[in-house]
Formats: sequence, structure tokens, C-alpha cells
Amino acid sequence: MSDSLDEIQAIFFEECAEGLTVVEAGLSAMAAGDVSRDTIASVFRAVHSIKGGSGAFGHAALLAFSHRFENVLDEVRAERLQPEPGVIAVLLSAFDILSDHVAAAQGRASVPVDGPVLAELERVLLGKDELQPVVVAEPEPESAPVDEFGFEPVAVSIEDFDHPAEAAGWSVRFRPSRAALANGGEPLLVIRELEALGARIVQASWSGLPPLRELDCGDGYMDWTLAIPGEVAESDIRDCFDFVASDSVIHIDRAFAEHDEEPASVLPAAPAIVPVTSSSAPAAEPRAASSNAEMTIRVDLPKLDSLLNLVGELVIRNSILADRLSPADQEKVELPQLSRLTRQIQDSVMSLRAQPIRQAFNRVPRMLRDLAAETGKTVRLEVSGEATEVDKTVIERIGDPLTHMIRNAVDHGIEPADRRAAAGKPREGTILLSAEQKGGRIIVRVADDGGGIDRERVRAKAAQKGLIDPDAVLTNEEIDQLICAPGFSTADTISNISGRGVGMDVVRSNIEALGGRVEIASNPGQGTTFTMILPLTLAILDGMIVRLGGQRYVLPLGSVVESVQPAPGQVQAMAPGHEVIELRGQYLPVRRLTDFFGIRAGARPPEDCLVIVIESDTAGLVGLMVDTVDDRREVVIKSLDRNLHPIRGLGGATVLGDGSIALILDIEAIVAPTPRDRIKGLAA
Amino acid sequence: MSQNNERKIVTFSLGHRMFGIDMSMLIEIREWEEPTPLPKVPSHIKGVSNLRGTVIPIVGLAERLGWEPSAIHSRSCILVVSLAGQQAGFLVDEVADIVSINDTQVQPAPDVEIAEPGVISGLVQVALRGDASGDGGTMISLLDLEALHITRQLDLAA
Amino acid sequence: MSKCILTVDDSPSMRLLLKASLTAQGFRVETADDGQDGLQRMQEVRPDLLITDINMPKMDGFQLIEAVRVQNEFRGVPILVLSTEFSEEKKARARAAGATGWITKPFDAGKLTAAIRKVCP
Repeated sequence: MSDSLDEIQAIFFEECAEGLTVVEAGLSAMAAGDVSRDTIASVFRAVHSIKGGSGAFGHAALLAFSHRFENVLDEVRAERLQPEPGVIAVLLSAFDILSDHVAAAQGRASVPVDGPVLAELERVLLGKDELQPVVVAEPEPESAPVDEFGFEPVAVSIEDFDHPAEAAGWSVRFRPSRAALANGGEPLLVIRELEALGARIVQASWSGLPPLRELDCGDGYMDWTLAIPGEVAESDIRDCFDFVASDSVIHIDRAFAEHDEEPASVLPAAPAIVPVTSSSAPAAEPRAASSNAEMTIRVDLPKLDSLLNLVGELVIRNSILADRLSPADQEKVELPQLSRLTRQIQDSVMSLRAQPIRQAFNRVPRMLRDLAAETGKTVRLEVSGEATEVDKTVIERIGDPLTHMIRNAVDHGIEPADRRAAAGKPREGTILLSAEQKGGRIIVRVADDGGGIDRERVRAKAAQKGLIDPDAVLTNEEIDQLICAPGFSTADTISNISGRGVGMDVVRSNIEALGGRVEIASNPGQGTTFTMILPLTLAILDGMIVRLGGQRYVLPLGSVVESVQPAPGQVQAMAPGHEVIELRGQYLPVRRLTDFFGIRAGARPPEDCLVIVIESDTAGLVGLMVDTVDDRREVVIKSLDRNLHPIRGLGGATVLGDGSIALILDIEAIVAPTPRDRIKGLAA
Repeated sequence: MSQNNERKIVTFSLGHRMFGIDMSMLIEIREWEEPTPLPKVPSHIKGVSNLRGTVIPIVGLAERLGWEPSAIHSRSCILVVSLAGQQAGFLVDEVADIVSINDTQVQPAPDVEIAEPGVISGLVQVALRGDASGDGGTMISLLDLEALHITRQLDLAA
Repeated sequence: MSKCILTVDDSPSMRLLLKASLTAQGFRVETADDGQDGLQRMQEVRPDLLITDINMPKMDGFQLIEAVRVQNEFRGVPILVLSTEFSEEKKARARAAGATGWITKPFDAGKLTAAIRKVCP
């Protein structure tokens, strides 16, 4: 119990150590002439932090001293005190005493005698022109001002007043203003607080409520009148409306004698901060789990996230560094090696968030049992690679596609038992479910030993639906891909099990929307295998924010090799719509994102753009032309297909810190020719 | 479920026509805010917006029904609805009011102005607050938003 | 469903302290270590209450509060400032930025809880 507090305190002392280092470095810099705002600010913050923590942990002497020290630093920071050599010398002495105080707080030394240095600090303070009242105050935890809260009632006319039954009581009327509501003020809570003091609502009026079309939901339209017993002190009532803005007044009728009562006492008492009864200690200590045979270590998730951050930072610095080198230097072996190493580190760290895919596979046996009951087809399941580790959100996202594929396999793939027997197969069908990790991808396969895809039927259906030209010549693979085409369904009747027969195109769209792809391999009479290839991490994407036509987009950083500011002539057009960029002797195709998205904005000359060189699986190195690059950010992927549908070229969207949406680009879709074009092309 | 089949309808206008949707599917009414445009979508999908962390499509309802796109003005709003588990926002010209109607008041939909079947589920006469006409109210068309199939990827004809 | 509080403070020990204290009261606690991170976390976590320090690198508490209030969807979210400072001008500044209330450090758990209950039922 107090262990966890000890642990937190230990961390606090670590922080103190770091803070002291910062202070020392900062003051030395200042002594050497660097009195920049940043340096001073860093010193101030470090001492401020130490002060804050010392109060929390009850180190009174440290608190008192650091508070005085901080006051002086605040004056320097606010430029009300000049950091001349004399002042800096005093600060350095103060730093020494501060270190001693910290050591004393840790029990490593005895409390230093700080009188003389305190006097020096005082002297330095008084030596400047103005005296700030806040500087003189002693920080007593007990005398910290009472919590201030409140809401901003609006001035209300005095005329119609409800006088309460008791002549000796209070009548309070208020109407929350727009500003009060905007700042999180909740009238209900004010009323509850007043009720806790004994108030009761006499009248609540909503006559001010306009018709819906005129309603401004940010404004307050209701007003309340309450009656409060006379014994309640006016100050207590006013406390409920504290944090009052200058433009609002609360109307309270009848003054009364003062009473000494803290509003806080009316509220249920809460335990003091020491000892902390929570048993959840921040798992910051690495302690090997002795119960496991494998060596494992418990890691604090925030630490992992911050490590991920740093790695992402590393990747981008890498890119910028490469940019700064001359072409000749860029070719030297060290740079590609560095890039490769960085990428490897990134992959390793990302894999730390992984969990076995078993969780997603667990639902399949039950599904097969249900399907067996519905279709009468018994299917045996073989699973391999269920221990393959994938990012936890792959597990979440792969569920639906998996369901579709299993259902399809049972519904369309596996033949009825009699037909199988006639073909010399075991009556029971088999589905092989496997997962493996290859490179930076997860490969999940659903293979059935059914009859394979009936290509004649598929082809005929596709022709009938106008998806292909009747005499088009298609390879077997192309026919197989047709079952994923939107609007296609081999079921003549809409099957209950496969939903509305749109299963496979939804699966493909979903997987593509996640940055993956679906491959189909089928052997007539023998079976079909669906392969889902997914990137390793889904939920959180390390992205490069780029701007195009005023909109922000996210490029997955994992695909980014470098960014180039083209020199005049570096980008040339080989043919209309086909540009290339010359980079270290190689010619790379350039795609303008404006073209891909059909944005008709005027084409900017290449020299005004940036070319981001990306590495794609299907098309090698390609340059993407954007307007500018913002920064690198880790973004949370929000799927578009949840509420809309997958859109080719987009791997989702993300909400940036300011609430705006940035679309996430799907590199493979952007650089590859669209399959639909190919099919349509066959019809041409 | 009330016993006399009463339900609440949110009424709004698209151009000069008045419509209503069942309030049970309404999540909220928002002020118009420029959505983030999406590439390669039909013009009635204006883009996506951030609804408390969820990315939802914003649909120009007038356009979707085949009419002139709504002009944006100070009273334009977005009706955020939940349709079969998915959320979407529909741009309307102006929200009128919330009224209670009885199923018995609903008349069958007339010859359609709208090509798709099922989109208009009926007509009903209601009295709206602030209505200038004194003759018993306004005729509103009840919309079945689910019948619009917003989330089906339409085959792009072009 | 317990309420979720997002605490923003650049001091790890302070974050841990707050987290321990609030978790003991039955709240779910998420943390961020500076204003910018806090802003992003607001989108991801969507807390019932935001508690923030003032003095932080990159983006300070005032800027964070302003950036949060600018977004319509966060208009009604209560925001408490938790800081060692207590000058009237800082409080006025917080109020102007859109804070709901101010608590001074070092805090007493009882006062903290009372304050939270006032703005977040």
C-alpha cells in the first residue's frame, strides 16, 4: 500500500536528479553568457517541478527552499529581474543548496543550513524595481486557496421575484450564461450543490425556450428560482457560483449573518492521499515473471509508446540527414545501412505490441458447428500458426473478414457429403486456417478442400452482370478475382448464410482498406485457398503528414524512403501524364496525388512541390508529389468503412489534435494500376 | 413503444419541400461544418466529419434525392443519424420542429418524385410552430433513410 | 461505467500520484505529458474531465485549454487546472481560456475529489 507511494516517490527523486542536472547545465550556460528564454525557462521548469513534487510528498524544507528559489527564477523568466553575473552567482549557490535539500529529503544527508542563501535570494529579489505580491507568500499546503469553481450566472432583472415562504430565508435566481455552459459549467451540478446546502427549487422556467429551429444549443434558456434556509451563509451560496466572470451577477435576496462552514464539509469525505490504498502500482520495475517458463518482462505501456515515438523520430531524422548529404555521399554504404538498421529497430519496437492471433481464430470452431447445423455439411478444422503474434488491432479487425471467408468456404467451397463421396473425397470437408509472419506482413490463409471455384459459372455470371465482355479472354486467376468484384454473387438465391451474397467484395474492400490484399488460388475439384496479407500493425500508424491542395493527408512512414525538393528540370515528363524524377542516376516514376484523387486544382510546377520517394511492394520505388510536408506523427487509424465504405486509395482516416480529419493514403493502391481498369479494359 | 402508435418526427426542409424522419434514429443535430472531402465518391457524399472521434460521412440529402444541391446558409444543419448500426450526417436546409404523430395519420406515399422505391414511406399533415399558414398545417413526407443505402458502394457509372 | 479523467502534467511523478489518487476514487485515468500530447489524447480518449498543469514544455496549459475549447465537441467538457501557482492573473487567464475551475497544488485528496464531483457528477 504505501509501497506504491514509495515507488512513486522514488520516481520523483529520479526526476529531481534529472531536474538538478538541467538546472546546473542551464545556470552554467547562463554564467557563460547564454541568457536565452529557452535556457531560463528550462531552469525555471526544473525547479518548479521539484517544488511541486516536494509538496506532494511532504518534504517541507525542500518545498520551502525550492519555492523561494522558484520565485526568483520566475522574476528572471518574466524579465523583471536581470540575469547579471551577481544574480547568477546567487542562483548557483541556491542550486547547491537545492541539491543538498534533495539529498536530505532522500535521507542521504542532513538538512542543509540555508539561511544565508535564502537571505541572498531575498536580497536579489528586493533589489529589482517591482515587488510582486505572489513572491512573498509562503506556500503552506493547508492555506492553499479553497477550490474555486463555478459557473457564470447571468444578470437577471429584479422585477419578478418569487419570495419564498419563509421570510427569513434566501431566494436565489440564476440563469446560466452561454459562457458558463461553454466552459463546462453544468447547471445541474450547481443546483445539486445548492441543494446540499438545503436549497429547494421553487420554480424552473423554460418559457424562454424557442422553437427548435431557433434553438442555439450553446445558450442557456432555462432559469431557476431556489429557496435556501436562512441559516446558510451567503458566502457559501456564493461559493457555489464561484469563478464568476465580470459580466454576470447572481441575484440573492436578503443579507444575513456570517457562518463559519466550509462547503467541502458537506460533501462526502474522501481519503487523504497518504496512504494510497490502490493496489495498482505502475509497473515500472522490470521483474521477471517467475511463474513463466519463458523470460518475460512487464513493461509500462506508455514507455512502449514513447519508445515508438522516439523510433519514429529516428526514422524521420534519418530521412532528413540523407537529404542533406551530397549525392556522392548518399551513395556511400553507411547511409543505406543506417536506414536499414533504423527500419529494423522500428519493426522490432512495433512488434512489442503484438499478441497471438489465436484470439481471432477462437471463434471459428463454434462458427463451423453452427454452419454444420444450418447446411448439414460437417467440416473439420485444422489450425496452424495460432501463436503468430500480431498487433492487437489486427486481431480486432480481422474478425469479420475471417467470418465471411469461413462462411464462403462452407457455403460455396465444400460440396455436400454425397458429392464428395462420389468424387472420392472424405465425406467430411476440411478447412485449414493458418497464420504466419513474413517480412513486415501477416499472412492468414483459409484453405478448403472443396470443389474449387466453378470458373465457368463465375465467368458466365460476370458476363451476365456486365462486368466483363462476353468474349473476353481471361486467365484463371483473373476469373477467380471476379468473385470479389462488387455486385457479383454466385448464389442465385440470396443465401442466408453468406448474407446477401456480397461477402467477398466486402472482404476484399475491408482488407484493402487496412492496407492489405487478398489473393485467391483455386484448383478445380480440389479446393480453394484465400490468402489475406496484412501489414503488421494497424491501429496506430507512424505517419508523415503531407499537404495537398490545402488538405492534410497521412503517408505511412514505413513506406517512405526519402523526400526530395526537386531542382528545376529534375522532374521531366516522358509522356502526357507520366512524369519521372531523376535521382542519383535512376529514373523513378512520379505520381501526382492530385491526379489520383481527381483534384482539378492547377498543377504546380515540380520545383514548388516535394517529391516523397516511397517503396512499394508492387511497383518498387515511386515518387509521390505533394505540396508540403508538415511533420511526422503517430496517428490512430479510423476506418472509413465502418460508416461508409472502403475507398480505393485510402487506408482510413485519422482525427488530428485540432479535431480536423486527415485521410490516410494507401500506397499500394495509389501506385498500382486499378484491377477494375484491367477488367473494364478487357471489355473495351 | 407507446400503445397508440405515436412517434416523434423531426421535420426539416429541403428547398420548398418538408420532410420528416423518425426521431428514434436521430443522434444529434449539428451546425454545418465543412467536411473533409473524399476522392472518387459520388457528388452527394460531401466528405467526412469528426463526430466525437468517429469518422462519419456527410451526405447532401437534396442531392442524393436527385435535386439541386442545398445552398449553405446560417440555418443549414446536419442531422446525424444511426442507420442499421452505422452513423451518417445528412445536410438539410433548415430544421423545423419536432412533432408527435400517430400512425393513423400517415397517408400512403403518392406517385413518386423520387426514383427509388421505399424512400418516402408516407405523408402526414402536421401543425408546426411558427407556421404562417392557418389551414391545418403542413404536409410532410416521411423519409426512410435506410432505403437510401448510403453505405453501398455505388457502381460509379463514369 | 466509471468516469474517465485525462490528466496532463510534464512531471512523471505527479502524473503517477494523480493517477494513484484518482484510481483509488474509482476513476479511470489516462495521462499525457505535455499540452500537445494532451490535445491528441483528448481526441483518442474523450474523457469526462480534463485536469491539466500549466507549466509544460511545447504547449502550456493555457494553450491546451484554448485549443480544446475551440473544438465544438469539447465545449461542455469540464476542465480543471491543477497547478502550484495561485496568482489571480493566472486564474483569470485560465478562466478566459475556458477552464471550469482551478485547484492549487499541493492538493488534498479530499479537496480534489470534492472539486471533481462539483464539475463531473
